[in-house]
Amino acid sequence: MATTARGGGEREPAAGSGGGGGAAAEMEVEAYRRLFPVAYFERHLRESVRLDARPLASPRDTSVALGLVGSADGSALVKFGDTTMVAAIKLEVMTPPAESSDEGSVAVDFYMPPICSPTVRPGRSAEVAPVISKQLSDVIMSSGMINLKDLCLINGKASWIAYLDIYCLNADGSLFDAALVSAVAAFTHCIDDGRVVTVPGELEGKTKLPLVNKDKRKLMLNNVPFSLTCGLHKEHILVDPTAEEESIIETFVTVVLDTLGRVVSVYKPGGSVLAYTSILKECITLAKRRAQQLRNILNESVSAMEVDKSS
Amino acid sequence: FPVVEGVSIHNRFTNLKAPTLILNPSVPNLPRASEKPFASSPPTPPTPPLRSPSSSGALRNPSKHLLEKEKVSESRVSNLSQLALLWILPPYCLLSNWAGMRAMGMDRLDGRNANQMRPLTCSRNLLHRAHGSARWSQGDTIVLAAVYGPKAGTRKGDDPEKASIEVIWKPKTGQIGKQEKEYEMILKRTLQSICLLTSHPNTTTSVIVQVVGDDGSLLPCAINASCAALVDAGIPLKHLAVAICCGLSETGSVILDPTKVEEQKMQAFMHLVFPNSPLAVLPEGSSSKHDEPFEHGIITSVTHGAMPERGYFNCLDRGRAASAAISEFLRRSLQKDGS
Repeated sequence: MATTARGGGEREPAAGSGGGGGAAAEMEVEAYRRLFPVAYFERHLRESVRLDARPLASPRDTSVALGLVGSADGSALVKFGDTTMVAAIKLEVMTPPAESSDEGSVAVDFYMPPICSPTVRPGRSAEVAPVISKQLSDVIMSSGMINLKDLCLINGKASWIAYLDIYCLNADGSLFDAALVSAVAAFTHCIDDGRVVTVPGELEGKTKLPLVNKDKRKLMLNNVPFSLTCGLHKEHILVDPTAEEESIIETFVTVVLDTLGRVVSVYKPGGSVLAYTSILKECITLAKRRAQQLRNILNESVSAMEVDKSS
Repeated sequence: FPVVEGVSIHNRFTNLKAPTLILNPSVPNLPRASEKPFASSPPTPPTPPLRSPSSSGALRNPSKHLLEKEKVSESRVSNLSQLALLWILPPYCLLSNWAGMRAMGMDRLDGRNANQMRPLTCSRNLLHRAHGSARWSQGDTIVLAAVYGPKAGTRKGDDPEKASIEVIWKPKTGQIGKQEKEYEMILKRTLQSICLLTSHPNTTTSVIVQVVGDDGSLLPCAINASCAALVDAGIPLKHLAVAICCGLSETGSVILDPTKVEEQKMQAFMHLVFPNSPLAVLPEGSSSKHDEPFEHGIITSVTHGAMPERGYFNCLDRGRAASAAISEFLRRSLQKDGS
């Protein structure tokens, strides 16, 4: 596979290209992969496979596990191939601000600790972390997944604030997608643990809402968003890129769809490949398929959870 | 349908320090947009003869601005017939949108109609210490961008075989938070796609963006300002980028260039960046493989709010048509001062 060193849009020393089979044949595959990543990558693309032998339009194996963090009110661990995300939700009671006295709130934060990637050093957080964090909170709010009024306990006096923290344990591409699935999974698992709320000035021990004392209730989710990131490289659309592919491809399109089929977000931050309507339509089709897949995986893990609980 | 648009006209005798903006919504001899067939090429008069070969917008002799330091150049529209920067919109788009707006009884607060943008101004070479600078305003949204030309060295993680671009976004008030980091990243990636990165390897170009006023459509204004500042600094570019903000209301009608108040009322709004339509050379490659011309591709798309898929593509169409008009404005503004 590494025998012919083709141009591939990258300057190569004469040893690689001139000698035909000669010098390049002696070079090992791994060395070629490190020295000429673009050429190596395009050699694969010509055969319509990717570096890990996936077809172009197929995402990596996805697994979702719920409830791993015992002390959190809701948690999930999601793996997309090697990319691993842990999401945890803690519910706390807060006093809602005057202008939204009947609403709770959700605070989303995304962390990339140094464990996730050799490029992240302690003390200097990764550049993408605040961007993904902002994107996540935008998507969660604009999809309307959580009705903030559900989080209200006592109008004007107490409501829930859900602190959603997502930690990336292994950054191997498609960070936003994995983070979104982990956030959604954590919310499906999130259980209000029936804390008693006392309001100053009221009778002690009794709250106005029997709900809080009674059975643990789950958060109702509607319009759950699912996303798909595609890389665009010279006419090819690659679904769910890994970190190695992300270093070669410069252009990405992230499409977020919800259960109603609405487009929650089409996010394409720059990139040398221009996105024409045909490409966008194809990305949206791929995203629909992926959303269906993710929904099935999520439902399976939720029902597996419930089986475990009841048994 | 009387689609008129507001473009700033600068009186050529205006005091250079205080440009006056004249919004001229009802120019009597303005031909109507609906009379122009969609498929025709932009009906602007031929561009004035270029005195220097590098005024295609991409290259500018960097030492020129040293000679012209005292001249603050402003964009102006001298010819009324050039006000036919028209909304070359497909008639059916116009009809459905107009009908939708009328049915809703919705008029925009500042009296514009759905396809009208706020007056645009672009001035360059304002900051004498910076290698390039530009100030772009759309109504009350004003952004000042400064470019410090290629400096030696790149940051640790970046590829030394290419030039790198560093963006610093300064908000008008408040601390720097996640929103500013996101804007920085989007702006950086957008500018990376228009610059010729291989012409100055192992250098860093800094773009500093200062928000002077924010009344909606902030990111597109910043992108336009940065692009003009890069031209002012003489950084080699592949093509220019024009950015536009479109809003989609619940009824499905699209409005252009919403203000902050309008953005909050809309079901969804999005920022779109298109490449500047090329005038002279036909690009090979991209346009032959897709059936769409070069300038219909999107460089950047950032959306807020959920919308039906059809609504997104409607906004794209409207954004493309408007970007043709803005790119005309940008080209004219850059050429006027080029000499």
